Amino acid sequence: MDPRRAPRTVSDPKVRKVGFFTDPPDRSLPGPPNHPISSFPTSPPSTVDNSPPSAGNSLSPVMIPPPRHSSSILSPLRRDPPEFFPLPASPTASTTFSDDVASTMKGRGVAAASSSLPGGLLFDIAASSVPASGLTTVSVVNNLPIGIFEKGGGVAVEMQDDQSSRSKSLKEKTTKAERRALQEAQRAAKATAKAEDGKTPAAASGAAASVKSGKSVKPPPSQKNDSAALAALEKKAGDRPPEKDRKKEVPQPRMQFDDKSRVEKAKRRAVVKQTEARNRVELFRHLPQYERGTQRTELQSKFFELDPVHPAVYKVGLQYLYGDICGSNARCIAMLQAFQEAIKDYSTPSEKTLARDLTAKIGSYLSFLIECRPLSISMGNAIRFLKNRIAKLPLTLSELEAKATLRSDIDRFINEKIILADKVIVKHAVTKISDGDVLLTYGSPSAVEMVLLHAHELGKQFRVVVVDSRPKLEGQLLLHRLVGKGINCTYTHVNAISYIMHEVTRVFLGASSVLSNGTVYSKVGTACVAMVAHAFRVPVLVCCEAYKFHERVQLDSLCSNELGDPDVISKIHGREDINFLDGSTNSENLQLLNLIYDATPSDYISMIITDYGMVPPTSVPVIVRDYRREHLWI
Amino acid sequence: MTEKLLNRMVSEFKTVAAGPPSRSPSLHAILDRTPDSERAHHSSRDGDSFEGKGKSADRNAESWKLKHDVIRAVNELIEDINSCHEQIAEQSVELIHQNEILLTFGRSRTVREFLCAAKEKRRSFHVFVAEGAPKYQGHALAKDLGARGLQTTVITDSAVFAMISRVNMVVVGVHAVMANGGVIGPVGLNMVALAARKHAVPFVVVAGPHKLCPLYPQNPQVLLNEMRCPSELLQDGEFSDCMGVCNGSGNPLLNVVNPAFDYVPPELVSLFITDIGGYNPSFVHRLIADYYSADDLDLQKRTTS
Repeated sequence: MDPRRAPRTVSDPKVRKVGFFTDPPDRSLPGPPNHPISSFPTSPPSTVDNSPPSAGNSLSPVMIPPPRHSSSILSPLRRDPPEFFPLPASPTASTTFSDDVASTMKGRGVAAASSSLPGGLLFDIAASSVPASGLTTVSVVNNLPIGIFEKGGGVAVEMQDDQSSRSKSLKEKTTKAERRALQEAQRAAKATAKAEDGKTPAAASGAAASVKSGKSVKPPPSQKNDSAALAALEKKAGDRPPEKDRKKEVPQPRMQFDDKSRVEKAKRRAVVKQTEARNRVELFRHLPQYERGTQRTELQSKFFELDPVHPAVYKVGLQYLYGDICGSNARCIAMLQAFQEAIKDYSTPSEKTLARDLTAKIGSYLSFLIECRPLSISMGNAIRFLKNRIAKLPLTLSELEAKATLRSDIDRFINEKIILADKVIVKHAVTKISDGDVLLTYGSPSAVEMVLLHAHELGKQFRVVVVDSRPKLEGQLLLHRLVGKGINCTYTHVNAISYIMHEVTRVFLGASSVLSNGTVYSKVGTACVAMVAHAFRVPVLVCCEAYKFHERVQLDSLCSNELGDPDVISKIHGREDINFLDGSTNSENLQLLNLIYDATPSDYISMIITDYGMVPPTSVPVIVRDYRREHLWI
Repeated sequence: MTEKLLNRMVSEFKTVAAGPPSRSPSLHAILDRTPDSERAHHSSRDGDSFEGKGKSADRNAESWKLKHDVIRAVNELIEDINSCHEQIAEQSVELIHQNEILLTFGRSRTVREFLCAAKEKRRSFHVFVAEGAPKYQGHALAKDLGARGLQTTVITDSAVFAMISRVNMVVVGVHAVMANGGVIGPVGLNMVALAARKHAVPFVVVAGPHKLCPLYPQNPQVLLNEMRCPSELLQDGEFSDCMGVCNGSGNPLLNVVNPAFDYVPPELVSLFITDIGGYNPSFVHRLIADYYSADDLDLQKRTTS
C-alpha cells in the first residue's frame, strides 16, 4: 500500500500584484519557500535584489537597465592616447569588415573620441568659419581630441558614470562668454549652412541638425568659475559623443519645397536659374520639379560664368542631368573622382586655411551638382565622409601633403566601401544560389549583376528572369549583358510578375539605400516586386553596400522622393503608334508623374546582404548607429 | 470573349424558346429540338389535322419565327451592354465622395462613365491612372478624363505601390468575372489588388452582366491567358544579336514573356458593382443561375438524344 503522500501545500489564492512594482528593500533575502503562485512575483525581485545590489534596487522585474556598452567601450580606449591618431591611417586594404573585431573596437573608440565634434559635418564648418582669434571655447572644442587625451585617466573615469544626468549638469557649467561665443559661431555657420541646406534635401541629414541642436544644447542657464568651467567643458565635450551624437543623429527634416519663403531664399542663392514646372502634382509639392528643357540650356550657357565650378565637376553634373550616369554606386564614384580632380587642382588662397576653404569649395560644387540632380543617399554619406576627412586633417601638414592625403582617402573610400564591399557581397550571395534556381531581378542593380555573373562563372546552373519597367527600361541593359555571357534569361514587364512568380525560387534586388526602419529605398517598382514575391512566398534578398545605410526613417514613398521628367511618360520608346498623350501635357486637368524611387516595407525583405554579412532588415539601425563611426570613418 | 457572348445568348433563348415544359430551357435543348421540331410540334398538337402540306409550311414558319426571335434577343443583348454603363454609373455617387483619390488601371468604358457620373454630381476627386503597359490604354483613359474635366494624373505601373498609400479606392474594369468571384483583367491587375489589400484600400470592380462567366477558374494564369507579341516589350533591332543565340541544348537563351491577362482571386476583390447593384464576390455564383443554364457550360458538348 502506498504510503500516504505528504499533503501538498495549499496554494493560497493570494492576490497577485500585476504590473510594475518595486520591491521593498527589506525583502532582500529569498526566505522560506514561497507559495507557488505568490512566489512568482516575489522571487524575481529578490533575485534582482541579490545580483546587482547597487544598480537594480529600484527596478521592477520587467525592467532591464539599458546596456552601458557605449561607455564601457569608450573607457578603455581613452587610456590609449597616442594610438588614436594613426589608427584611421592603419586599416589596410586587406582588412575586411566582417572580421577583425579588435579594429572595430579601436575604431569606434577613435571615432567616439573625435566625435566630440558633434555631427562632424557642419559643426566643423561652424568651427572653421569663425575667425579663431578670440574664441577660446571654439578652439578648445576644436582641439578637444588632443586635449582630452592629455587629460587622460581623469576624464576616462568620468565616462563611466551615468551619461544623461551628468551631461545635463555639465551643460550648466559653461560661462556666459563661452555660450555667446558658441552662439556666434553657429550664427555665422548658419548663413553658410542655409545655402547648403536649401540645396541638399536628401543629403543634409546631419548637417543643419548639428547647427540647430548645437544651439539648443549650448545655452545653459547658470555659470561657474573659470577653472571649473574649463574642466567641465572638456568633460562635457568628452561625454558629448554618445549623448549628443545620439541627439544629433536625428536628421533634420529636409527642405520642403512647398514652404514658399524657404524656396525663395534658396532661389536667390541658386547658381543656375531654374523655372519650376508648371503642371505639378499636388501631392508632391514638397519635392522640387523643374522644367527640364530650360535646365539644360541654362546650365550650358552658364558654363563660362560658373568660375567656381571645376570642369570635372561640371562634366559630372551634366552627366547626371542627361542621365548618362545612373545607379547610386556609379554616381557616387563619379562624384568622388571629380572631387579628387578638383582637390588636385586646388590651391589655398592666401590668408585662408586649407580645411575651411576647401570645405566651402566642396560645398559650392555640391550646390551645383544638386541643381543638376538631387543627391542620392549614398552620395550624401560619401560627402559626409569627405568633409569629415578634411576637417580632421592635422594642421601640421603642408598643402601638398594634405591634398595627397585627401586624395588617397577618397581612393580608399571608393576601394573599401564600394569595390571591396561588392566583392564581399558577391561572395556571400553566391552561397544562396543553387543549381536549378530561377532567380528574378528587377531593373539593373550593379551588385546583383556581379552576383549573377560570378555565380555563372562558378558553374552554377540557373535561370534569370529580368523584370523591367518604364520609363527607363534599364532591364534591357542588364539583359544584354547577361545574355552576352551566356546566361539563360527571361525578360518580362513588371505587370507580368504575378504570372512569372510561380516559377521563381529567389528574388535578388538592389537598393539605393536602406533606411533605419528597415525600409529599402530603391528604384520605383521594387516594392511591387517584393510584395508579389512575398505573396507567393518567394524569399527576397537585397544586395546593398553598407555605406548606403542611413539613419533616416520613412514610412511611404511620398515623404521623400525624386521627381523625374514627366514628358518621358507620354513618349513610349519604340512604340510610336501609341501617342494618346501627345500635346496634352499642358492641359490643366492632366498631369504626368514620374517617380524615381519607392520605399519597400521591411516585412517584404527576407535578408539584406551587405559587406557586414547577411543581416535581417532589423540590423540596419545597429550598423548605422553603432558601427557608423568606423564604417564611415567619421 | 465570343464564347461568353454565346453563353450570354442562352439567357435570351430561355424566354424565346417555347419549349415544352418537359425539357429544361437550354441552348442544347433548342438546337437539338430544331431538326425534329416538326415532330415535337406535331406531337404536341394532338388532333392537329395539318398533316402533309401543313408540315413544310409549319417548318418554315417555325424556323422563321425562331430566327426572328433570336435576332431580337441579340439586339436586346446589345442594348443591354450599351446601357449597363448608365445603371452602374448611377451607383457611383454612393461610393465616391469629396476630396478622394481614386486609382484605376488601364482603360475601361464602364469606369469612365462611373467616374464622370460622380463628377457630374459635383464631387471633386482626383484620379490616378496607371498606364497599363504594354498596351498603354491608361493614356487614352487619362486623356478622356482630362477632357471631361476630372483631375487626372498618369503614373507608371511600377509606381502603383508607391502611390497606393494615399489612395482611397481602386476602381477597375475587367474582362471577365468568374463564377467564384475572381476576375480576369488586364495584366498587372493582380499586383494592384495585392497592393490594395496590403493598404486596406477597397478594390471595386465595375462590370456589366455580360462579363459574367459561369466557369470556375482552374490554373487561370496559364489556361485563361493569352500571350502577346514580344516585340511590344523588346524592339528586335536592339536585340537581334541576342535573339538567335542558343545554349548547348538548342534552347534559346532569351525568352520574352508577354501575357495579356491577369487573374485576381476573389479574396482580393472587395465589391462588384453591376447594373443590378453591388455584390460580394461570394455572391457571384448566384447571379450565374439567372443568366445561364447548367447544361450550357460546355459549348463543345453534344447531347446524345
